[in-house]
Amino acid sequence: MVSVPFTFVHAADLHLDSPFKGLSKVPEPIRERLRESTFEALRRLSDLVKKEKIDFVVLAGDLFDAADRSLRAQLRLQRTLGEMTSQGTQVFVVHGNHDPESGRQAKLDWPPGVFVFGSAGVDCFPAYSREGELVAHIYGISYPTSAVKDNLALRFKKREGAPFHLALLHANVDGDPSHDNYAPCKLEELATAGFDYWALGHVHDRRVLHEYPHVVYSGNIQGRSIRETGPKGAYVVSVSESGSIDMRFRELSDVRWQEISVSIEGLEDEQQLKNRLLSALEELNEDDERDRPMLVRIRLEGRGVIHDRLLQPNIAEEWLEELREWLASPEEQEAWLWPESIVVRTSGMIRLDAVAEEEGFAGELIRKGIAASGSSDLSKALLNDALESLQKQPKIREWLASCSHEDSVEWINQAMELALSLLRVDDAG
Amino acid sequence: MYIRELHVEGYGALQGVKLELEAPVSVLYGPNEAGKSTLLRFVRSMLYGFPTRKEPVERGEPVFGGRHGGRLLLTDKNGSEWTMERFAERGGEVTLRDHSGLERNIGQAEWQRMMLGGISERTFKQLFSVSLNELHELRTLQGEEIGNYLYHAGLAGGSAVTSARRQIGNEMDRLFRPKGTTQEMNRLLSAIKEIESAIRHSRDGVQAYQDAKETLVQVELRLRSIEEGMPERRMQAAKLQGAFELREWWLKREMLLAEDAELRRELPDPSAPLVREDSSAAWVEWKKQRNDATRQLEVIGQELAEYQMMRGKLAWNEDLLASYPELERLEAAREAVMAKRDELTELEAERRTLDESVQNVLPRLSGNWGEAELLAFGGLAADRDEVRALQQEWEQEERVAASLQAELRRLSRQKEVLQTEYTSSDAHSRDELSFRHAKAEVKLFGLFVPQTKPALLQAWHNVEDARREYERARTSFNPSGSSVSRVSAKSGKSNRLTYTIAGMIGAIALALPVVLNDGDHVSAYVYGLAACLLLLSAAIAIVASRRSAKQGKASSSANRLMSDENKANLRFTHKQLKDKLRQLVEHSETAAADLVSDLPDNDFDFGDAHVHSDTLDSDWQQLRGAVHDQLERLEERNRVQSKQQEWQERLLELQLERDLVERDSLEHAKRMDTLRWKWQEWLKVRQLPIHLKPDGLPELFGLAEQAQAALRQLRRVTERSQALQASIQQFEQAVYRLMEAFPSSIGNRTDVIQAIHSLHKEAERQLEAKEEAERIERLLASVQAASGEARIRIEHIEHGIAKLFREAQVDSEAEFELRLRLDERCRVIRKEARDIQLRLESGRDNEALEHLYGLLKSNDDATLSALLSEKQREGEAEDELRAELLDQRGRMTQELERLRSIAEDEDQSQRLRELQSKLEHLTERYAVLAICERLIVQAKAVFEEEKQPEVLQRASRYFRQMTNGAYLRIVAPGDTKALLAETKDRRLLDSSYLSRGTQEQLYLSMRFALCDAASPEQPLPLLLDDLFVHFDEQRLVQALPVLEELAKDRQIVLFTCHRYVAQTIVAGIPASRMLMLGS
Repeated sequence: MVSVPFTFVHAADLHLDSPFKGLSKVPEPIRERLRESTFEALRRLSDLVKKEKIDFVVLAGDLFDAADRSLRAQLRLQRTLGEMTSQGTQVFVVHGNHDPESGRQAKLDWPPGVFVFGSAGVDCFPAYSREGELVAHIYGISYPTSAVKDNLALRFKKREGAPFHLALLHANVDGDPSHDNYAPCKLEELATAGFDYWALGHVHDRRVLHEYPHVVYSGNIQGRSIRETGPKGAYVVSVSESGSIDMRFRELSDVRWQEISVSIEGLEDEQQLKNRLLSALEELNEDDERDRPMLVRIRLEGRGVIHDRLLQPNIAEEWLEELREWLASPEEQEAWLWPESIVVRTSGMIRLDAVAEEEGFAGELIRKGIAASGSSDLSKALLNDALESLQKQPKIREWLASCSHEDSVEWINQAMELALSLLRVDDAG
Repeated sequence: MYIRELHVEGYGALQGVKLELEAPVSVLYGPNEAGKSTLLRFVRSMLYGFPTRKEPVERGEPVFGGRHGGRLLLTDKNGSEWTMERFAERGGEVTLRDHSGLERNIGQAEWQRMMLGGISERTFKQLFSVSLNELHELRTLQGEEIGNYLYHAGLAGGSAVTSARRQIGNEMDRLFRPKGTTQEMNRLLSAIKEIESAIRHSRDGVQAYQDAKETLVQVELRLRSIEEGMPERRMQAAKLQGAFELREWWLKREMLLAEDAELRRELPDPSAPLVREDSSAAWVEWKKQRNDATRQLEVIGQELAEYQMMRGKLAWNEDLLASYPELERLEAAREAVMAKRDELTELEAERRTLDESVQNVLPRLSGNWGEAELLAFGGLAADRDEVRALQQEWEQEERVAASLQAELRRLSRQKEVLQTEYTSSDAHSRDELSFRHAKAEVKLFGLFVPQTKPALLQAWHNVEDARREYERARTSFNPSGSSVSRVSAKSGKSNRLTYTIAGMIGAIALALPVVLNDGDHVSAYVYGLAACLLLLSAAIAIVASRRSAKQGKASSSANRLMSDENKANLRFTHKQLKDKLRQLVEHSETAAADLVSDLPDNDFDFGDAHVHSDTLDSDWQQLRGAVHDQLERLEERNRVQSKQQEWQERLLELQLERDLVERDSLEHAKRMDTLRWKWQEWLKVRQLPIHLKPDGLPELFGLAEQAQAALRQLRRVTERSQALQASIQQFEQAVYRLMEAFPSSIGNRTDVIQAIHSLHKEAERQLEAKEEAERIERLLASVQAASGEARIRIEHIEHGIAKLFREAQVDSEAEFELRLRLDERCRVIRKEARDIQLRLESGRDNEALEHLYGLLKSNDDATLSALLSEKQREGEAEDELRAELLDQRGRMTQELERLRSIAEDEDQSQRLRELQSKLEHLTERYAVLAICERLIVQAKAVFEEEKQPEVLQRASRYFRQMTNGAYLRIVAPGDTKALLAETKDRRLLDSSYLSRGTQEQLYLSMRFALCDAASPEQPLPLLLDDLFVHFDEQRLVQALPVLEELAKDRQIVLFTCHRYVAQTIVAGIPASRMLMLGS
């Protein structure tokens, strides 16, 4: 069916120059590196296009965050896209929820060779190989506004006349709960719409939802918070003469995010904890394949005697400072390793449910806590009660509202651990 | 523990007070100052020790004396009795005696543990020994101990919960406060707000960039259009400007051209060309030359006439001129001759003076001398030297004579001195010696025989030896002492030899100084030697005597046999002695009689003789002294003699010396005579007066020299004057010759000098006149030549002028000059016109010229200037616009660059995101803390409600009882320090809002309840100091059952000053007793 083999790149969610989440007390070299990392990833994309003789590129939305109003992002994007198209590569772009077409945001002109889909309806542009042969029809539609609740996928209609049909869309397939449910659609709908390849954006974890026809999230090209761990990049998709599709993932990110767990089980004192933390980081450091900087979150888990001490105020920050001291300075190392944070999710030696069996003050307290974490309503009530003063701050209120029941449960658990620890410590003293 | 008896020995105002507390409830009633409070403090101090002097009231030093302290009789919980004593002087120690009388001293700590159930003093004070002050302290629940009692029933105790809440509260406060500013979250919130507003207020970067870019394009477009139209406009403006500026020139040229045409018209032939430009100059030149030449000719003519006249006037005498050289020479000599005449007169005067002086000197030198002698007298050095030598010799001789005289005088003086000395000493010594002799003679035994010293010494020694022999011989008769002597005589040669040696040595020793005494000085060495010898002799003698003593014993038997022999020996020695004496002394018999005892005839007499030995010894002493004196005298005589001899010698020497000197003086006199003769000779030869002394010679020489010099000078002066006279004569003769030749010129002057002078002057004058004439003739010749030249020049000039006229085709000078004037004017005009034309046409092509002339012709000044300023305004406006646009372009480019760089640096949103992260993180922590806090509160609420501690329950019961059910419950929330009272209708009231009486009832209830809790194993007595003063009657009565209940377990002691209180209690509680204090 397909006569000419061709290769294209599928990327999405560039989020150029959008700020990084969850960072604090970052030294200047790292901050600078992070600031540049989305651009660096974009540059690598451009290099990739040049090196692998890519015929065309599809970008599935969220190229930048309109809310950030970053002129830099637009200038760099303009320049890099210019570089790509100057080599004869077409670039097809749709707008997503972060860079909707109708934003009051001013936009720079697109360089020639860049095709941007409108939001009025699904458009179709022909895509050519570098040799100038028509190899595919590209379909796409942009977000007119930031929040699109319509199922845009339903509007896609195939037009005959090309050997390959590629649909470009920013959407949440099957309602992924960790992302805003914009342009919701069903995988089934996509798979049966008659297109050869659904190049999707919006979900930052790359995933292939379906093959033949392919339904693919390429994920974002650079992780921007601890929730976006692991390698990030784009898919290089080769379509052979016979129509078979070969997908190769290329990591583009400049800085990688990683979360590691360290158990405190069996640890007797701080020295042992230090050793364990260091060896965990050492393991990461000695990974031969690691060729780029890494931000690491350390998650302390398990049940151990030093749990009580970890509940002290600011103790996690102090450990973090220590860890940073122990590691080589980011100025001295190209592929540095930076502990981003330490989260304490440990438990004491006493099991909460065991305490709950006890008579007395602690037992009473734990029973109350467990009851609260058992029910969404109770937990909400408890939270409202406890955080009454915070509710008056709109910023915090908003954020609290966005927190899930799981978060509440986690907090309540920590609160119970803390209470136990405090009462016990005093008891002992 | 029960206090059965109190015995105060001395505490505060109390002294020797004794109280018995039998009943479970004792009411101590007494008026003020009865000592209730003191008693309470006493009990406290007894139990917990006397405080330091820092708290004088509590310590209670006795005011009225007595030992500071006392004793208590106690019963413990087992009923055993104890007596305890405490005295301040014993420090913290307590003396404890049990019922069996066993006594021991224990420390405070042990005491407290043993009898007080470990209750601390503070707790005791708060709970058991209570006055109103302490009662109210409970309101704030001071002290951990008490707090703990309240909550102990729970899991972690009240303190754990409290501290947990405090800890959480602290951290929460650090994180966030609703209205706080410094808390971490508050700070973050405000920072976020700030950044957000900054972002909101910052311009939309992209929009701004777009706008700037658009503006830039517009500006570029306008700039381009302006720049394109610019050259054409510039050109036009320039042309106009040119026309405007040149208009003046153009007008002038037109005028010039018109004038020229007019001038030409005046000429007969208007088209005739202009005369050559240099013609006018040439004409002027010619005219001037002609004038000059004519004037010159006239001048020359005048000169000629003048010179001729001057020549005619000059005349001179040739002969006088011929003798002019001779005159010249004489004139030159004239002055010299005058000088020579003067000199001659001076020289004559000098000659006379000199002659006089020579004549004066000569007689002073010598009567016989004339000038010849004077000249002959030796200025010669040889003469002088000879005289000087003579003089020196003379002087020397005189000096010798003087010294010889002096020597002679000295010698005779010395001789006199010696003589007088000799005579005086001689007389003296003679007197003295004779005097001594006389004295010695009188004293001693007559004169000594020997007259010399050695002889006397020898004689004396012989006498002494003899005496020793005699003495030895005599002593051998002595019965005790003789044995030794006998023994020694008999006991062998050796012994005697020894003695002899000793004696000899001793003798030598003694003699040595004497013998060597000749020289008047005995050296220490000699004395030393003598001493040594004496010692040696003594030693030998001692050794010998010891030996002889031994021998003596051995040979004592033989003594008597030997005595006869001894006697003979004695006699012999006696005789010997006498002989010797005789040799010594003149009156030897008397001396011997004195000195030598008569020789006894028998043995017995020897003892007698021995008796006399003492007087003998003194006589010997005298003799020895006499001998020694004699020796001294002899020596003295010797000395005097030798001295006199010496003087004698010296006298001789002097005499000898004197003779020698006299001989010398004789010789000297001879030498003087020869000298004198020599001198006389010398004088004679020179014909000088004989009486002259060589000393006068230098003066003579001086005079002679002076005279000689004068003489020589005289001769020279004479010569000179003769020479002068000759030359003057010569001169005069020459002058007379000339005077004769030219008598006329001299006039009446007769003096040669004046004559020659005037002659010479005349000659000079005539010479000058001749030279002047020659000069004038030469001038005349040259002037005549010049006049010829001048005529030729005039001709030449005339010719030139004629030629000029021909050229200009004029006939007269006037005509020519008019023509010249016109042409000159025309030339100026034409040149100016040409200049202007050049100015107009330079740099312009034909077209431009045409345009220019067109403009000039068609426009007047005003229109031209209006046109020009209009163009200029246009141009300026355009330039301004262009500059502005350029500026704008620069600004826009900069702005774009700025926006780009700002964009690069922009990281507000990253910061915002970081702050948000931080905030979220903190919020999480805050949430955990808040939840924790909330859980604790909830748990606590349950606890307080359902599981109230026993203490509170009991207190509530007491309180309910006391208030007769007005209040149901006491609540003590762990998180605050307040105590709450629950009313009948279930309202909670803070204790501080209750009435004073009710407050005290509440606190008392609490205290009672706490007492039970605090001392369960050792129920301590309760001491209450007038706590019921604020109770009304009903409440007081209501309180009684509570007291009664308490009294079951522990002793209660109530202090009050209110009779009704005391009576009510005693009436209400059967087990109570009232004690009166201070009565």
